[in-house]
Amino acid sequence: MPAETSHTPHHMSHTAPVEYTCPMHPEVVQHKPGSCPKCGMFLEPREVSADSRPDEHAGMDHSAMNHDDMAFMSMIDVTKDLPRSNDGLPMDWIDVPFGPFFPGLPSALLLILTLDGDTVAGARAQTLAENTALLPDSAAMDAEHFVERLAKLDPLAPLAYRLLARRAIENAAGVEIAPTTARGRIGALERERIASHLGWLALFAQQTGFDWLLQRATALQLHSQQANRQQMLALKPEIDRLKKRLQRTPLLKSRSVGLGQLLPDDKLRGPVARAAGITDDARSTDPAYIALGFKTSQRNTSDILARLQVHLDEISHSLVLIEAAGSIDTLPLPVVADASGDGEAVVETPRGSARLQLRLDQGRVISAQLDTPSTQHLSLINALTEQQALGDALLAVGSLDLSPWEIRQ
Amino acid sequence: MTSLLIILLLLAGAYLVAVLEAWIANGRLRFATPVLAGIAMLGRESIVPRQPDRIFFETAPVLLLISAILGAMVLPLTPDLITTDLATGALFINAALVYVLVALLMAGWGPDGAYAMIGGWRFLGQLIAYAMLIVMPITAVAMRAESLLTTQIVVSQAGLWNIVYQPLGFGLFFVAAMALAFLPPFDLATANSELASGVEAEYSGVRLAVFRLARLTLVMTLAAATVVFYLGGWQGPWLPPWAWSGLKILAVTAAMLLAGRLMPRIREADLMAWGWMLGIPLALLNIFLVGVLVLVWP
Repeated sequence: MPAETSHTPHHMSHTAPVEYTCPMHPEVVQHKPGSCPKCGMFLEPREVSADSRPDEHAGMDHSAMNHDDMAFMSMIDVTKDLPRSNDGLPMDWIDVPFGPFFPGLPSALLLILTLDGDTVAGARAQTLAENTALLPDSAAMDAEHFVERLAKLDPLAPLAYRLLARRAIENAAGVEIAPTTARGRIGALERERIASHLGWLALFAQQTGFDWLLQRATALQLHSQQANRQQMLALKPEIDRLKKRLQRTPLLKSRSVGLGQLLPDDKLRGPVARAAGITDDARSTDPAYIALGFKTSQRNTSDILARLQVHLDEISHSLVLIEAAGSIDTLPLPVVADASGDGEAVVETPRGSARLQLRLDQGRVISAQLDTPSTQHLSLINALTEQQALGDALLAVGSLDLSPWEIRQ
Repeated sequence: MTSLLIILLLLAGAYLVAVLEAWIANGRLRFATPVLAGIAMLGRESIVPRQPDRIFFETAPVLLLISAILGAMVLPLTPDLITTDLATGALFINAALVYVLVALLMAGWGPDGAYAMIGGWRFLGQLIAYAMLIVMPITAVAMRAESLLTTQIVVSQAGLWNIVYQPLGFGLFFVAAMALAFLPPFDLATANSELASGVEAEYSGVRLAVFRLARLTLVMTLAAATVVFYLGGWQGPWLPPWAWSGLKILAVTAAMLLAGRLMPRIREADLMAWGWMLGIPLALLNIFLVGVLVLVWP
């Protein structure tokens, strides 16, 4: 994979006139070779170009200095005008793209890191998922069509968004939901959460080169995506074994503890928020969930290890909820005839709570606003990666579980 | 003649390592795959990136291969099957394997790409962590054998293999050897998910084939060194010496390849800290313990 770089090229031209200067004392300049009167080092040749004579250097702005003009590599000259990072070592800063198809990041996410050696000095992130056509901003469409569109918004959590659209429309139309239907929906949503969290584990494994976990988590994810209730419950011993195995895995703790820390912030959603000690969970206020014995999983350290633990806890708890729910609904399209009104719904997607407000007019959606967790999380990337080693920074970005599809820029 | 035989054996070994690696990775034992993959790589375009340092770029894979082969030259597979039984053999292997670092730095600098360059510098840091942990355990091994001759080191283990005599040294050497061969979890220089293969990122076609072959050969050489230093070399009952050497080398290789699958990649900072703050004191302790043991119970 080629990378755009801007570090000093290896080849320098040798056409300009040459003068000689000391590598340690740039003020010593003469026109023939010799040794430095101050330290005795051999003087090194340097090209003279019209716009960068050394005696004119004092008052010049060096921020745009072109290294090609220099025929020798005096570390002092090369680095004296470079920005310094926290460790005080001046280096060439380079902008390196990671993505949109990078092995350790979600596809369609473009992360441009400014690297200072192996340390991240700055980060820019954006999504390249061209999903704007599917977004329900200025929508004016049939309710069924709207639900189908929102379900296609995020291929990583189609069911959660389908449910979100359904709930919002049902609220707008004032439709009451039968308790059995509500439980069936919980079964479906929790199944998707298990599959999604296993996907998070697989990405974590991929990023850390942990092949065994990658194979296990991917296999379990594939298995759980379309499984019925019995098949889901049969996964429980396997998931318990996986958790036990992870507790004994060497290097796992040192790879994740204290890294990727985020301060508690109202932008945090879902498992990322719960790992930071925030009880942000749309499920905890949902009567249907409360009836099934829902409780939030929570950690306080807000690092990658806490996120790993929250994801593992939630996988187990989702299995308990599926067992209690009794069925997994298929979520047919809503029937809202010619209803009108305003509706709002919040659904705890696998990545955090998503909120949808819409206005229904004669059975058609005429306006809608959507707030998604990944949109909020994208703005955290800079704080998360600043002054981190490259490997830690990428792992921290991965631990946010961004879905590029639901990000709205 | 012996050299040629050793090189052929190394190549055969590299092939077996490739089969083993694929077997461990995906559970399928296919003997033709490495050959087919190699031929396919030869047929692909070998891209030269823009503005390369041509000399570094071209030399690096070959230098890595040479370094691995040089290291194998002083390792006996049987009492007679050794290219050169140098009087300084145990020292020479260190000297030969230092060029692994040089090769990876050149591969990192040569293509003028960010991923490769970071991978190269990472390996420089890695050398600082593992280098002492290669040399110091070998020192303890040489102390017991009272010789730097690798054949003498094998003979010295006739009564008791070094893995039992100095288990601490074996542990340190095994881990350091994995770090030297940049095998997972020490694959910082070639991390796929952090650097899109790092120093290997800009290599393709025939150059990548040489790179991969060199890496496999390096794993073979280090496994052979582990066998010679700690697992009694060619010694063993019933089977002929060459068979024992071969079996032990394959077993060590399999252990090296398997270990990395079962844990996440180490952080650079941790590797450095543990190498110096834990590894070196333990290596000194190992030398001390072996010194006492040699006096008490040679």
